Order: sequence, then C-alpha cells, then structure tokens
Amino acid sequence: MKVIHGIWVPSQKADFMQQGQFYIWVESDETKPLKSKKLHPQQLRDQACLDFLNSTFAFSLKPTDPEPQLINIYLPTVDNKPIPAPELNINDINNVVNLQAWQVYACPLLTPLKTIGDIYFLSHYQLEEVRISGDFLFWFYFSQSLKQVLNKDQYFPELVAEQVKTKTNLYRHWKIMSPAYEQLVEQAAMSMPLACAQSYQAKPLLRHFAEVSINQILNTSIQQLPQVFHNKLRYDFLETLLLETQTNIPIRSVVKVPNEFQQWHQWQQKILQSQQKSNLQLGFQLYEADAKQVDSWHLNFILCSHKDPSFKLDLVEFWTHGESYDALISHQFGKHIDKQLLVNLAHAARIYPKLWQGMEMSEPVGLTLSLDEAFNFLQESAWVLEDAGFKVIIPARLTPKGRQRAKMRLRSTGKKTNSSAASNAYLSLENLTNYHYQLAIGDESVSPEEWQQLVEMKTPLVHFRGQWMELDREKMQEMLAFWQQQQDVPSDLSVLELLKKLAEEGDSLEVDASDSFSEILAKLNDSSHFELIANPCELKADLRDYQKRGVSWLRYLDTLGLNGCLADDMGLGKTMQVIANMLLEKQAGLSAPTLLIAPTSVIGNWQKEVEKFASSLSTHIHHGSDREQDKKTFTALCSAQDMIITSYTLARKDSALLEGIAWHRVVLDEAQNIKNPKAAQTKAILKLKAQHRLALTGTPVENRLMDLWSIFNFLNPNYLGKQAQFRKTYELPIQRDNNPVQSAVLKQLIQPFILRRLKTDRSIIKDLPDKIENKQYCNLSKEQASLYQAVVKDVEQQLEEKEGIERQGLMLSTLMKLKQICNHPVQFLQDNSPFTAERSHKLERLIEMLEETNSEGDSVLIFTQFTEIGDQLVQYISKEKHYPCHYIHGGVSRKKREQMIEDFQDPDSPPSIFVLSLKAGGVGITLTRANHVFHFDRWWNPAVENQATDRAFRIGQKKNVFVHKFITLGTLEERIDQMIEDKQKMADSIVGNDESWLTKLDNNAFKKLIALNKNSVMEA
Amino acid sequence: MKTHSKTWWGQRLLEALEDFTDSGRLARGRAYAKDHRILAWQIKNGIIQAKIRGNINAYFGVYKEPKYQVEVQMTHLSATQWKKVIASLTQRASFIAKLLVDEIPENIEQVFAEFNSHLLPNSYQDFKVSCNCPDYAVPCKHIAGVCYKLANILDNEPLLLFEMRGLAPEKLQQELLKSPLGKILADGQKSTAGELIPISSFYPALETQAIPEKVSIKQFWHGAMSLAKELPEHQEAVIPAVIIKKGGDYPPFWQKPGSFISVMEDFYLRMRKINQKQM
Repeated sequence: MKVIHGIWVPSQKADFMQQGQFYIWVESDETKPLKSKKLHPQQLRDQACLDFLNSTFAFSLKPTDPEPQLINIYLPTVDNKPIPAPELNINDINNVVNLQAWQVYACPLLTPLKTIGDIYFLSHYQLEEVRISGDFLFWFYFSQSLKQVLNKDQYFPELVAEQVKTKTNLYRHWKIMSPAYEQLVEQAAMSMPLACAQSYQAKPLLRHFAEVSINQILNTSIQQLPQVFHNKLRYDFLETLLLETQTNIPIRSVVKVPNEFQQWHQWQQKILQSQQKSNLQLGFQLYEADAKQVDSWHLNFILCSHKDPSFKLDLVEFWTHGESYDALISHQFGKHIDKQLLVNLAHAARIYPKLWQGMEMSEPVGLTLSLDEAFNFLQESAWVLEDAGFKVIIPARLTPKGRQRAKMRLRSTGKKTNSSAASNAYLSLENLTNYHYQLAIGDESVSPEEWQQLVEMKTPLVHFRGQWMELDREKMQEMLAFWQQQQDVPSDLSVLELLKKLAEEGDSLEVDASDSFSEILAKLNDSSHFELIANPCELKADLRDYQKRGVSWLRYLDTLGLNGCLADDMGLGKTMQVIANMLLEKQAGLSAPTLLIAPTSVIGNWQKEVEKFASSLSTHIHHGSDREQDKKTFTALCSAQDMIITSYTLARKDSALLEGIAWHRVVLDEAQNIKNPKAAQTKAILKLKAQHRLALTGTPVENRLMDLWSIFNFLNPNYLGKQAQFRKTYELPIQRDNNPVQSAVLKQLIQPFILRRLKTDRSIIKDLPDKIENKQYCNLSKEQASLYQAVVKDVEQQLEEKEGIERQGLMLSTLMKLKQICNHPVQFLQDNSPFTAERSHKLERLIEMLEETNSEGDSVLIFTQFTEIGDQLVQYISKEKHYPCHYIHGGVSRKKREQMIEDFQDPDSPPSIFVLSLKAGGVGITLTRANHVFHFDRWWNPAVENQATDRAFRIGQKKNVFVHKFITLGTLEERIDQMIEDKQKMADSIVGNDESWLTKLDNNAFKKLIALNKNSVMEA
Repeated sequence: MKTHSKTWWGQRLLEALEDFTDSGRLARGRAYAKDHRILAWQIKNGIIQAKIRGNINAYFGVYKEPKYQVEVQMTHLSATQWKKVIASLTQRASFIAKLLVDEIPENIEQVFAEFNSHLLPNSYQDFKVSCNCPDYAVPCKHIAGVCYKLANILDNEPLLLFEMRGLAPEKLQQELLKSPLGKILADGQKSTAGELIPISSFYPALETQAIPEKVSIKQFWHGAMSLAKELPEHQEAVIPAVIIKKGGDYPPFWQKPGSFISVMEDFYLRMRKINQKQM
C-alpha cells in the first residue's frame, strides 16, 4: 500500500517574485532503515520513488526539470516516529499528538493542475494499492476547481509595478477575477487541513498557489500562440504587455512610467473597480410578448443581491418608492446605490449595447425588445451578461433546460408489438424493429407541411400553438431531410440499438408517448411501474413488495431479450429474488439449468438458501477436487438439476466443460469479479452459452466505469462500445474532466439495465421491517475441517469415560474449541500463524461484506464473544483493508470507550467499523450510526444476541438495521441454529441464559450435534 | 503615442481641423503631437497654452532650434446655455452612465441643438488659435499638433470638452448637483483612477502562522469543514473576453485601426484552446 501526498511549497526566498512548487511524496507501509534521524522512515526515496511514480502514473521528470528534493514537513509524531497517514494505518484520530518536522523525498509537479488530476483519477478509479491522502485530496479539489478560471476566461492581464530604488519595474501579472473564484477560496480555506497549510495561513496560501499555477499555465500558453495572432499585435503596445514570454523579469524598467502603461493602468483600474466587492447585483428579467404584438418583449432592470439570492426589486419600484426601501437597501448595498446601478448598467450596456436604449430617461427601468432582439438576447446576450456577473431571469420555457424542442418521435408501424410480460413469450425482435419517425415539437406532433412552414419562417422565435418557442431551423431542416429519407426506407432497429440511439441522440429523439415502446421505456427506467408478482407458492418465504417488483423486472427483461444487473444494496435480498424467479420459471415448465458463478465464500450460502426457501429446486455444487470432470456425465448431471453452482476460479479452469452446456441463464454473483476484461476468468465467462445473463452486485458499479463496462460487456456485448472507445467517450470525460453531458448520456444508457434499490429509498424503507435478519452460511475450509474432525474424534472417546461436572466441563470446552475452529484455525491453534482469509471462509465472507458496506458508506458493528478474534479482526481490518475501526472489549477504560462511541456516532467522521466483544459491548451503549450488525460467532442464546443487536437499533435510529449472523455449514453452528429456531417456535424460555442447556443432551445427541458433515467442506 | 483619435468625438474634432487646413500641414502637424515635441502643456480656463519645439528652417530664417508658443481655445457657450444643457443632460440615465464610464453619448448633440448650440466644433469658427512661428498660414503645423494632442486627451477625458467650451469644472459640479442623476456623475468625477502604485510582491503575499505544538490527528488531516462533494462542472464561457468588454472598445493605449475587443476575443479563445493541454 502506498499513499500519495501533495504539498505546495512557497519558495524560501520571500522576495518580490516569490513563487512556489507543488510536490508529491509517497508514503509506504514498509519501514526502511535510515541514515538520518530526520528522514521520514516510511517513504519511497530516490530511485524507488521515481520508479514507483513512473510505473504507476507514467510520471517522469525531464532532465531540464527541477530535481526532486528533501523537504521538511510537519507531521503528527509520537515516540519520535511520524504517525502514518490515516489511509495507511487507522489510529485513534482524537489522539492529541506533537507535530514535528520530517524530511520527505518530494518530486515536483510542473503542471500541477493536470498532473494532480491524472494522479487522482488513476488512484481513485484504477489502482488498488494506491491511496490518496487527505492533503492530496484537498489539493485535488482546489486545483481542479481552478480550471474554471481558464475555461471561463476569468483572468486578466494586469500591469503591476515594483519599486527598486529610483526605478519602477513593470510586469504583466495574470490576475484571477471572478466571484466564483472568491467563493472558492473562502470555502476551500474552511476545509483546508493543517497538513496542507503547515506554517502558512490558509487563504493567502490558496491564492498564492492559484495565481502561481494560473500564471504558469498562461505564460506557457502564450508561447504557443501562432504567428498569425502575433501579427495582429505587431508593433503595438499590447504586444509588449500581452505577448511577453519572460515573466520573471520586468517588461520594462523605467524612471517615469511611460504613457501607454499609465493608460493601460487607468483602463484596468476601471475594470478592476467594477469587480470590487459590493453586494449589489444588477439583473435583467425578460417578459414574453403577446402573440399579437410579437415585437414587444420586455426586459426589466432589477436590483438583486449577491448575498441574498432571494432578494429582487424592480427598478421601477426602486425609483418610485426608493425612500421606503432606503434603510433595508442601504444596509444591504451601502451608499450610492444609484451610482452603483448606473455604473453597472453602463458596464452591462457595453457588453450588450441594446441596453442603452433603456436608459433614455432619468430613472431607467427597462426596455422593449423586438422579436429578433429577444431572440438574440436569449441566444447569446443573456448568457454573456450572466457570465459577466449580472443576474438574468428568463421564462423557464425559454431556457435551454425548459425549451420546447423540435424532435423526432419514433412510432411503431402497424405490426403488433407484444410487450406483455407473459412468460416465455420472448418477444421476437422483428416485432419491435419496424419503426417510423414522426416530427414533433415539445409534446405535440407536427405535420411535415407545418414543419416546413416553421423552417421557412424567417423569425427565429415562433409563437406556435399558444406559446413562444425558440427553434433551431438548421437542425429542423436536417431532421426533415432525415425524415423524408426514412419514409422510403423503413428503419430497422433492435431494442438495444433503440435504447442506445435514444440515449445518444438526447433531446432530439423520443418515443411517441402513446406507443407501446414508450411503455417499455417507462418501465425500464422506473421499476415502480412494475406490477407485483404473486408470491410463488413453492417459496417458503414472503417476498417483500420491492422484491416482487424486482422479480417482475427480471422477467420483463427476459421477454425483451435484454440482460440486466440487479444491484440492490446488501441485505435487500438479491438471492431471494433470483430464487423466486427460478421457481416461477420452473412452474412454467422450464427445464434448462441455470449456472450460478459466485465467490467460493458464498457458494454454500447459495445452496443453503435454495434448500431452505425453495426445496423444489435442485442444486448441485460444482467444486472441489472430486468434482465431475467428464463431459458426458456432467451434461447428464446438469440436465437433472435446476441450478449448478460454481466458483469464478472453476469457471476459468473448467471452461471447456461449462461451455458445452446450453444454459438457461448464467448468473454472476458479486459480478465485480469480472471487472478485469483481460483476465482469463472474464474471458472464459464471456464464452459461456446462455439464453439469459444476469449480474448481481451490491457495490455501486457506476462509480468505477471500467468495471461497469466489463459487466455490460458480459450482459449486452457491444452496447457500450469497445473498451477503448468507452474509455475515450465516457470514462475520461466523466471521471477526469467532470463532463456533465457525457455523464447524463451514460446514465441514460445504463439506466434501463440496472435495478438498484437502496436501503435508504423511501419506498424500500416502507417495505422493510426495522430490523432485517439474514443468516450468512459459509463452509469450513479443508484446514478447519481436519482440526474440527480431530477434536470431535478426541471428544467422542472421552465423553464415554466422564460423568457429572467433568462431563459437563468437557462438553462446554468442546463447544468452545469447535466454535474457535469455525471462526479461524489461528484462534484454535494459538500459534501465531497468519490470520488470513484463505484459511476461513467465514472471515473471507465477512471481509467481502465489509468491502461492500464500506463502498456504500455504511457503518457497521461486529460482535464476537472472543477477545482473541476481536484483536485479530481489528488488526486485519485496519492493516489490510485500511478501514477506520474501533474496538471495545473488557479492558477498555470508560473514558476511552466513551470517546470511541462519540467518534463513531459523529456524522462528520468517515463511516467506520466497530468491533465489540459481546460481553463488554452488549449493554448500555448506543451505536445508532451503524446500519449493519454482524455476529461473527454465535452466542447460543438469542436474548443475548438480540440485546447486542439493539446497540444499533435504539431510539434515534432512523435507518433500517441489517443483522447478519454467520453460521458455518455442516458443523455444530448450523445444528444449534436449527435447534434454537425450533425451540423458539415452542417457547423462548426453554433456552436458558447461557449455553449450559446444551450439556443436558445425552451423549448420542451431543455427538450428533457436533459431528462434521464432510459434504460441507469447501476447498479454497 | 498615437497621433490620431479612436473615439468618435476625438475624430469629429480632427475632422473640423481638417476642414480648414491643407493636408500637408496636417500630416506634418501629427509629428508635433508627440511627447518630445511638446515642451510644456497647460489647460487653464479652457485655454490650452503649449510650448512646441520647432524645426530649424532656413527659409524662414530660423537657424537655431526654436520654441513656439501655441494657444488654442474654443468658443464658449453662454452660462445660461450651459445651465440648460446640463439640466437636460441630467434627465437621461444613458448620458450620465456613459459620461460616468468616460464616453460621450453619440446623441449628445441633440441636447445642445435644443439650445441652438453644439458641443463639438463644426468649423474654424469654433476655434481661436495662435502661434508665434513665422508661418503665415493659420493654423500652422504646430497648432495642428496641439489639436491632435487635444483629441488624444479627449479620448479619455471627454469632460474636458465641456471645459474647452466654457464650462469650468467647478461650474459643472455646481450644475450637476442640481439633479439626482447629475449628483451621481458629480460623485463619479471625484473618484478617478489613481497612479500605478508599486506593490511588494508579484503573487499574493503569504502570511505565516505558528505550528501548534499539540494537535489531534483529526485536526491535522481534516479541515474545519468537509470538502465540497462535487467539483464545478466543466463549462466554457459562451462568449470570450467578457472581463475585457466591460472596459469598452478602443482604449487609449490601443494603436491599431481594428477593434481592440475583437483582438482580445481572439486572444482568449486561442488561449482557452492552448490551455487545455496543460489541464
């Protein structure tokens, strides 16, 4: 694990031209022996650092670049050692520590805006082993926000002077000028960590970084202006001021400032003054003309406030009742409001000269615009005025968002489209492909003749069917041509092509609202349109409404020949929806098997759930060294089963075998496992033949666009294009450049295929009980099984020899040992061997689930009755996963405990994990921030467990709480769980307060209880 | 230093000059508008008194570099006329707004016409000039030079024209104060742009703060507020160089014949494109 840090270091020499340099340095989880006591011990230095940056980010320094240096940075320090960044090692963040200077090997970034963006993008979206530190994250946010200064021309060539003895040195300085920038600095200063500020005050440091970086970029760009531009300024004063490429030396050194420079200065002063801080904002409000008087649009002048967006006063009001507003207004805007208004009006009029006409009186209130002028205003002037800092209000339906657009509508031709979700009636694609186009404006269809008339009208704004609209006639002409062409050749589109076209064409293409395909679209884009299926009669559970809707969605996609991704939050029951759908398919007479590919850790759980809730479905686990390898036998085996369950590893290893079967459906559980399109595993899965495909995932796939692409490549190949093309069209623009247009297009593209319900959705909360219990079944690893077997064998002998208290003691200690083995071999062996997920499926599954909760930003509680396991879990979670983690056990002082609870509950702290020993954490504390509770091992008394669960579920809990109880299959855990369930049905009281009730079992019953079912053992 | 005017009012002044002198003198006159030719320059009570460095000219018997006294003034409007004109001007916000940003409104002559007068010179009649050079022609090239210089100054100080036409600045203030709009302009006149004041650092000056001795880990890595959730969307300006446009076209330092603003639009657009490579 590496953590990237960034720091802005102003030059040591605080002279007139004091610049600065942005550096990055890399913290590592490995400690290197040191030559110097001042050097940070956990960092990449020299060649190792350069190599890392080069291989990870393709970042390298040119020979002409400044060299990397050792720089001093103040860092939290304890015992003369720097504390690793929180991303690397979870510390108690409330610990008060000393700050001490450490030397780090820092590489300069010469184009910080670009490189910071690139590094963030790669680290955040692509790399597993690289993290971004809080300091770097801050600079990322600030530097990327500065890009708007360049994109929106918010900089100005300012002339500045330096006095050196009798001489005045004149320089050009790029000044950043915009209210948005001022706001950015204010906000960023509030969120700037001390890690970034170090020994500088926040705001001046931010301005320093901003201006040095922007000046660097602009000065570099100046050098690339082409000759043709230089020619425009040749021999002019502006050439001196604007095109000077040497920036650190004065453009002129003079005794008396020459005339042109004086003139430039006076001119710039007026512009700079216009930008001076005042709350007063001049605004313009456009009122539409009457249909009969097309040339009387009104543009009214209004007085607004930068500070209070709701403040608005027409100048008519201001002039006539000025005095009555005086106190209120002068409080807001200070003195000389009329002068401010007039100067503002003059500045606005220079940008939009039409405004002069509204000022031919002593108290200007507005002006009348003709149709053409109104159009020009809507097209351009309004946005320019807005960019220049004026407020512009125009009727919503004339804004780009609310505008009525000319568009084409798709309408199916005469042939009947069968869109009902009747089972097995797979809609033949031809039915959907015969479409013709209609011309429409807004919601109304328009005949080609009318369209032609509109195109030919010379006015750009037309009053059409009762309202004004702005039409792009050039585009309308194109559409008409396309439409005419389509009349001759009927269009031929598949559903996929159609969905793609609709997303990519945006506003200019839509499906006729009365068309059956529009219903399809509506359903695909909003799952609430689905009717609820009846609870399948063979399902031994009651589906919740949203689950019924989910099954409905799955079946609907099937009828359309589309493949979707069910991405409900963890705990909402994706498994149950898949099982219910399979039952319905079986009822309808389906016989082809479904192939389920899942991580090894959940294979057992799948089988158990199917067995438990749909015993009429047969399952077969294809796993282990004794799995069926013969093609013929395997085919026969498959044809007798409803579901074959296998792992991702075997999907690759046994691909030849699996490819030979014509699957009804391939289901990928935890589909993010195929995120790497180049992996052999992914390639093998893509080759499987199936009528339908389904992906399940609980992580928000839309955050990692290449993962999303890979999952879609499995579901609907080619829909999102080739990988490289997708990267160029969507991933880079959206995730690196923050392009809202592409982001919207992609969202529209994928929306029909992803059903993602969040546990926080109102409609879901309504369907959910406050507490949702899930049992999480897992298997024993081979190692665990042999340990387990050995203990059982040993006990079976002793049991016969012991009596009374001794026998009870033996039984209790056996239960204890077996539970330890079920948790992890290390807990039983106590031999300091590695606590790894490979040795325990339970741990493996827990970690997978924590990855999911973490990616969703949820906080969780983990209960265990063993402090050894608690210790190990905390170590593992913070060292391996780097998630913030707290731990309460019997040995924690009350004060510390309260602090941890407070941190955990603090809504401003990052979501975190709280490990609690059942005894210490069972009572008296409130941890309502958690919405997942894990019971890693079981306390064989439901009352104690429930009491623990209630830590999260107390008054004040507004969220639903998901309770996950781990049960190891084929062991005492499964059997005791069964007993508790059975007994609970009879009476809760039978089960006592502790586990002693188990010792009342006779020897045979006890042996049965602890016996190992070898079928439940799962190789890694 | 440019030798011709960019503003419409400056050009009108020069056009009037061109009406009553021959083009050769006029062309030579331009040379005298340059700073090194003007040894002294003073405007008092609407009268320009300038000392011009002339040329050695054997034809006129000038063998040593001469210095000529030039005086240029314009005919004055009567006090009553001015009173009425100002009263009328201050009825229209557009006039005041333009004058506030140092522009003479294009339609200003309408107001002067109402009172049987005009602001800008129409002909020779509007000028009173003298020069002590031996040239018999009036205006001579020295006078022409002074007029060029005047046109230049007027480009940026349009209200000087009022003074030239007989309205002393104090008198102007007095008249302006009679109406609300006039007051605005009167106030505006007071706050003119200052001198170029030297600064102490090119980039915003840094300020240091003491490193706290003890701090919680949280305080070190997190700011007082959490970071904004989203970055501003990538959006480009609809129209380039909006900041520049606020200053108006044809600023005093701009020498070229074309529009300053259109050059700056081109500049910003090109820069925006080039900048992308560094972002």
